[in-house]
Amino acid sequence: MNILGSLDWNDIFIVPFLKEPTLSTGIAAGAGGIVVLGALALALLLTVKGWWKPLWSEWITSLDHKKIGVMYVVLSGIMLVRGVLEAVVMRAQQVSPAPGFLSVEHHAELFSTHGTIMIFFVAMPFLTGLINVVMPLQIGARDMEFPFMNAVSLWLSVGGAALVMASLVVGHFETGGWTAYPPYTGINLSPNEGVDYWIWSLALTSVGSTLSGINFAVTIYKQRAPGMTLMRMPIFAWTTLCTAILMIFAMMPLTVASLMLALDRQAGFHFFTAAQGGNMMNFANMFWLFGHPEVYILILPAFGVFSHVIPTFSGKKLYGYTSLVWATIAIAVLSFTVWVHHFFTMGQTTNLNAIFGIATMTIGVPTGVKVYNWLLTMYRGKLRFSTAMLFSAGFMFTFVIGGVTGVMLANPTIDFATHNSLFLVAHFHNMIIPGVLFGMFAGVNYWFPLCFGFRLDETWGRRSFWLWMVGFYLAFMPLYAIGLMGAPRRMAFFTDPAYLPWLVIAMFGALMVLGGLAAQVIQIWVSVKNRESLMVPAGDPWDGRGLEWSLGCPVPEYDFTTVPHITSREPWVDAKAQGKRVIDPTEFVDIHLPKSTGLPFVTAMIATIGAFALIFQMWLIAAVFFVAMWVTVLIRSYDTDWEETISAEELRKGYEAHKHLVETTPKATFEDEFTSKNRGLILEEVV
Amino acid sequence: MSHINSDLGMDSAEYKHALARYVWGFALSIVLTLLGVVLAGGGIFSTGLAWSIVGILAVAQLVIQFWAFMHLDLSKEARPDLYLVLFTFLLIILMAAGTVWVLADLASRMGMGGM
Ligand code: HEM
Ligand SMILES: [Cu+2]
Repeated sequence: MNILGSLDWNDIFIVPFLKEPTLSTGIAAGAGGIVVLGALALALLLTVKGWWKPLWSEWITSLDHKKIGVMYVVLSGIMLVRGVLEAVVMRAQQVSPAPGFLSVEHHAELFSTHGTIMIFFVAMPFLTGLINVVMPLQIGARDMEFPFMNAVSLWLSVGGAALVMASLVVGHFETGGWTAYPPYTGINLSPNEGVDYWIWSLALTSVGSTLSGINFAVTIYKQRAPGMTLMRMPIFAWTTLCTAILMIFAMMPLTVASLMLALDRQAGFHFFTAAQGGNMMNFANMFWLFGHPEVYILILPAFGVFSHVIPTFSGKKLYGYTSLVWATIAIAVLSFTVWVHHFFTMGQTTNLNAIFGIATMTIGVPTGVKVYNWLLTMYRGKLRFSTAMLFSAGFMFTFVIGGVTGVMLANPTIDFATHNSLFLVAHFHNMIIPGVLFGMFAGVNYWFPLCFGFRLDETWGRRSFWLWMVGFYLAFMPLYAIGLMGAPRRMAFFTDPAYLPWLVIAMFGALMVLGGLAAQVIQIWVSVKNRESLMVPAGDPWDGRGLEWSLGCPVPEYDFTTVPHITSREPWVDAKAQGKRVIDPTEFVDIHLPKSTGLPFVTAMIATIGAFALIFQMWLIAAVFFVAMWVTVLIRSYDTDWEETISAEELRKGYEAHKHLVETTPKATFEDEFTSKNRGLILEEVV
Repeated sequence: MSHINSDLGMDSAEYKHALARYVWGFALSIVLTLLGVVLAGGGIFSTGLAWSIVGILAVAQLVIQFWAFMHLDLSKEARPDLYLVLFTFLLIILMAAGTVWVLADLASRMGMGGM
């Protein structure tokens, strides 16, 4: 047996191009080259600037929930760049004369990686990161319940993403779409390592997500500040709780189904084969048992963001708190009752389809309730269109269109005609881009000062919004049209000339979206450069309403100097109404925070190498790394010296310093909100 | 739970109460399991009836273990935990029963028997 398993020279990214230079292999080699050169350039930058050490000691080993959150968002941002670039290449492929410049396999790899990356390595880490930063601050907690496990989750997700990146350099990714249905992904029809890349990168990240879900739910149950009853929790904490519960239960079917597929492929099992009593339809069933709750995992946190951004920039209390909470709970439960709508055409009886069709339409109701909540919050408010608010407004407008097409698809008879067409592709991008990305972008623009102490540049932020918004419409409205004309999804090229004008518009839209992404990169660059004038040291730069804004910006490591006692739903608004600029301290006591440790990183990287070994069937190496991974867990279990203390005295000093800062910061009004006069604690001028 | 050993004296009433609960749980679980084994192997009842009785015994054991080891009961303090456990069961039943339903329905359309 070869110790290196099935790995050979032809798997290295540049070799196929050298053997057979075409545009398609050239693009593959180029993409691999970008990954390798990018990694080298990053290493060089870190060395030249001497950043290796701070990177290790300040970030990689940190167990601080805010830093872990930031690292999640950075991961998501990097993967978003790849996902959007792939989308642009696909769009270019379909407008060039048939059969285009990509081989059919290469195009299939592109939509498979694009889908997998966008869901698992963009949307998931993005929302997990945002929750990590904000949720503990909103409920008056000092950290997650399990900070060590939190870091393990992060690095497992990074490991999964690293495997997907590695597939550009070594070997291939799969070609069966992000859903990877057998029998096509069985060993007979997909003998190479592609499907194994999909299985093991998902295994790493879905374990990470399950652990995150447990962490979030337990934190919310156990760590709320005294007096914060469930019905006093901010909506973002509520949507986090529901998302966390969905994560705990919904990741499981995916993990199990993908491991069953692995057993079929490598160990001769027959879960999903036609022979020996297997049933591939159960894969579709299990995949969507995960897949539908997953879309609500993705969207609920964004709903939470909008429920804070809209009241803040409307200067009004959220309309209908209780109905929003119940709508969120209803969505969470109902999301487990509709999964069959993803395979209406698989052959069930019409009765079964009808029941799931009706269930699907039902879930639209609580979602509709929420849109009215936000609209009524804005009604007669004094709206201020910051970047975060623009993304929220753009979301509401666009999301309703996507929701309407979703209700159309919920009707099985209509679904039979549109299933697997570009109409469907238009529908889910119509939900996911406003519903997830716009929400996350709004959240980043809104909460950024909590992490870094300065606001993001508004000019570039608004530019990025308009590019994303218009780009989205141009990229996806044409797909509704040609979808109804009969264009199937996942096609490498079309020969019907009637589609071409629409595809050209869609290509243009994808380029605009790419421009929007570029504008965001520029936005961050410009903001870092001008950070002095964007600094908001006193905190609360938008007249915010949640507890997180009662802290200075950036929020200190220990978050709260004293744990606040909560007596209402909006304690910070109440305090400000009484003319206070800090929440009264309770009792200063010594607190314990977990020490930094590199162990979560090491554990996850060992797991990642083990997964890589599994992909290329290096069984011996995989076994060694599997054992090594558990050894690191053992090491942690015997580590008793893992806490450090912050003294009550230090906390008192922190409080006094913040109080002094807040009292000496000159007041600014809404007119100055986006100027350098806003040093935090902005307040509306009372006339 | 660790606080039973650390915070309370070994002869406090609370400790004895908790210990009794564990012992009861353990004993009842063993009895119910043995009963199941005897029923399955004994051939006293018809197969169908034996299946149902073993099923009921299994559910009974589940309830007892939640009561004895997870400290779940109908008291007010245990209410939030109870809701969580019930919710968990709801989801598991939805997924498991849903899967059986869908697959049986598919099988019925392929002439493979089933419903
Ligand atoms: C940013 C702009 C985006 C563009 C231009 C874009 C474009 C595309 C294109 C061209 C396809 C292939 C359609 C086909 O089957 O022919 C596709 C598929 C897909 N996209 Fe996107 N996309 C974008 C963003 C996103 C985002 C944000 C997500 C999710 C978070 C996403 C998730 C997916 C998924 C799941 C598929 C299906 C892959 C498959 O067929 O297995 N996309 N997208
Ligand atoms: Cu769905």
